[in-house]
Amino acid sequence: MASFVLKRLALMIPTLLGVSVIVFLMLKIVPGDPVNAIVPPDASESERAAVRAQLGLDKPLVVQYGIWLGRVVQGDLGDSITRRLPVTEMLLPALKNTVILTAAAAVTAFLAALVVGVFSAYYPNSRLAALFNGLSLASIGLPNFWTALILIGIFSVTLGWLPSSGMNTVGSSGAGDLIKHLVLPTAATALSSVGVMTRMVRSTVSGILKQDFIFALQAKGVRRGTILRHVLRNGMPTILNVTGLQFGALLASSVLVETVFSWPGIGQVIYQAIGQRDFPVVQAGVLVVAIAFVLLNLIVDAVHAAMDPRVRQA
Amino acid sequence: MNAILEVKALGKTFPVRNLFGRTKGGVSAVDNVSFSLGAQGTLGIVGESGCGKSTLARLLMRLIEPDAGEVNYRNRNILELSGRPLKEVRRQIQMVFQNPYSSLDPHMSVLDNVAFSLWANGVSKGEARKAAYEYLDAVGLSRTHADRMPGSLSGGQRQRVAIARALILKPEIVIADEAVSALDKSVQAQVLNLFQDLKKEFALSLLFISHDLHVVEYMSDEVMVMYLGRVVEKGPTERIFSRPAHPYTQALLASAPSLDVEQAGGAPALAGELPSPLHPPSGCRFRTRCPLATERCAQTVPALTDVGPGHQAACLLLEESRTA
Amino acid sequence: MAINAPTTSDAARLAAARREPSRAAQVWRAFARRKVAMAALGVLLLIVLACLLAPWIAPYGPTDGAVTDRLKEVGSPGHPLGTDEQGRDILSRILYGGRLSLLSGVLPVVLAGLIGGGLGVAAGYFGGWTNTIIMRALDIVFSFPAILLAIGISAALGPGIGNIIISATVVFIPPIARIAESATKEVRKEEFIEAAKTSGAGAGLIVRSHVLRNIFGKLFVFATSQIGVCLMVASGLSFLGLGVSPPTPEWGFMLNNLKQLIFVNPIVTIVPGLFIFLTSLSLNLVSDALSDALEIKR
Repeated sequence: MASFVLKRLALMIPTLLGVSVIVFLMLKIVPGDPVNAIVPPDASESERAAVRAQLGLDKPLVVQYGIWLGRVVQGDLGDSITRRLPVTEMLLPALKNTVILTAAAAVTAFLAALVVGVFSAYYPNSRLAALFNGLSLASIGLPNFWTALILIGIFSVTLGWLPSSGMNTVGSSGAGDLIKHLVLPTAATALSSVGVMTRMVRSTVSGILKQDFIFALQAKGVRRGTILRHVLRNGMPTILNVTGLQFGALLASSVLVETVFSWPGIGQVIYQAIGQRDFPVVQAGVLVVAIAFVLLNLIVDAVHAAMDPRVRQA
Repeated sequence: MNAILEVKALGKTFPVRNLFGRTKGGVSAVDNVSFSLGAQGTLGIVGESGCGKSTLARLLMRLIEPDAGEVNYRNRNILELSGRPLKEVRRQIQMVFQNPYSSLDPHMSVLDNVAFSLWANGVSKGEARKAAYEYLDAVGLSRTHADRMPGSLSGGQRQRVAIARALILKPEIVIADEAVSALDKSVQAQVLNLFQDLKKEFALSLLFISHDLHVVEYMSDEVMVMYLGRVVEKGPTERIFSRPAHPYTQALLASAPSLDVEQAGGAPALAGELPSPLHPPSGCRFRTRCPLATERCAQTVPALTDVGPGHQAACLLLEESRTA
Repeated sequence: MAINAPTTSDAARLAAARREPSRAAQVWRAFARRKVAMAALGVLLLIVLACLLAPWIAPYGPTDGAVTDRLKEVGSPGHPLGTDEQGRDILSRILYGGRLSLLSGVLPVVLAGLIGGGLGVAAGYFGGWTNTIIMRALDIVFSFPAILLAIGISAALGPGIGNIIISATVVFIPPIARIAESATKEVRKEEFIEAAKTSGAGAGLIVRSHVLRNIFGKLFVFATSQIGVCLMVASGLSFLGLGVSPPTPEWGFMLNNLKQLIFVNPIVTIVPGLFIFLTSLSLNLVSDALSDALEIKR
């Protein structure tokens, strides 16, 4: 097991390097001369050249990348143009909030997919199953930012049950308030993945139900609840693996959902930075999410391997 | 006999790589194969699957590059050619492949499949198509067949198309690599007869590869028997089939299904399995299945020795009996 | 010269066979059998046509309106879909905006198809170092979460629909290239490619005449399945403000403008998103049915 994790970690390094190269290149394609942001328009050529050298822009691209990478690895992601703070200070608390949202969405999607998927597998010909099938098909085309707006429209505006923005209401604190604020964003984020996951659960459980050992259990007169336990235990590795794979997608899609709800996560930070043309923040935010994505995939792989020894042989 | 094609000591080993790309051995697919093909003759090459016949065909066409040896077409070693001269020589040696279902492009009409060879050589589309119609006609396919897609043709018809495609470049040599093996027996007969007719009409030299002894006997003037990449026997057809010298050839002939009741018994049938080409037996490669094998057979590689007019076989026992 | 001259009965059989329907007709028939897909196709065509004909059928211009008319309800007289925060007719803006939205959904896929397809075919056909370099580079891009990559590139290049199209194209190049590469590798193994080589054809001619035809089906099906996704990515970028600038209409951007007003008139704010959803859903259904229909005869 340990060797598996180490091997995966080793494979992760080129991926992370690749991610860093892409983020670095993003910085390089920003149109316009970055020198202009610092020197006044009437500056002489030598002044410009001096600033250019100071910023390290006169060195070859590969060297610039190396310098940038060195700084990033040490935790220096540059400073925000608008807030004049180190970007890392802005991002870390935001990251925590995004993780909360993503985790909640993952759990919700998992549970919903489990219930609906198992039901559809047990009663494939029922009207309800057909309805769920249609809904899950449709949900693939649902833009999550639109779903978020619809949810707000129904639950915040029309019914007034749930708040539509932020992480907590001014003046109150505690879990209850947090949960009230968490419900709608979680639902919006989860909806984008629940369709895919439901179909996976359904096909996995259907496959298991067809196997002989299920017949054997039924013939022995085992109770349905116990059979269900067997089925779930059998299917759990696959189901969890699919959920894990969706983590990454959920993480990425939370970026959009956060902007609708003004949820103070990385997505919101990136959004505001875009509006203010604060590109170092955008770049750093993208980098952090991408790294989180890669790490998440590694953890998912490791957990999957821990549960299913066959994967370790591969 | 003036040889139009002379092959000397042709060899090819496919490297086998491990996980990191390091070479950890090789499959000796073709080893030290030499033969000649006479002008307007037919040489049949026969052997079990895995003996290297198809690889040999591809080496001659340079679809795979040989590791060793020479392929002399009209006294020029084609292995040394490249660019324009290679392209010109390539036209002279064409091949009909085994699988009628994958040797034609399913998305091109039958006509275009044949005409393509000419397009590739600078002929205009119109001219190429005209020529293609003629050649399809020569193999017995009408214009209606020509305008359709390969998917709607039968296996036998597709092989005819493949033959037309091979002939359109007016080659001197045609290599038929198991060209009838995928066809029903009744259709096989038709296609074989077509080969004979076309050979006469276009003055072709034929290299006929098959695992089916009867087909080889029917088509060839001379026969070459291969085993695990090496030549074990070669000579005129009647001699090989009536007086096989090599134990492998004898066993092969004995195990071939025959309607001749008197042929039952006689030489022992083939025992055992084909050894792995990754680790062929040392010395004579046939020794693991040879009822006459001795200790010497594991130590020395037998060379081809004469056992009759134009007839050679590679067996140490035959060498011994000559020198004895 | 003919060996087997066709007989009259042959000719009759051949004539009957000539009436065999073309492949396109077969695929269409298989497709038409699925009612849901046909309905989706209808909806899709309706939306696309309506948007293309916007200058002729829209009741108002995309920027006409007075602030005094702002946020009328859906179904108000003269404004079947209501008005936006500046009093402009939403139906007209949907029609005009749809052209940009649809363009930003289709064009990146087409461009990625050409670029990614070219890269994939080159990697698949030539193998060796060409393959390694191209596919490793694409893998790196592919490992980056799509929407993030698009956001990053768009933000770097600056706002504008052209930049959205560029970043969406980059996002879709790796998956398309992968499909092209694996399809090319399969075709390369076929004997008719060997036969083409023996006739002396150069790589360019073989790729043009044989490879492209044989991979086109798979590539086309995959690309059409991605249009719906691309539409959502592009509108998402627009929603974040990375696309057009006011007052240009575009579905994602309209959603951005209207979202602040959700408490005032929730239904109106949701309308542009409805069109994104309908178009995307129809595209998914049509492309699913198309890929099923193409499976029939292969």
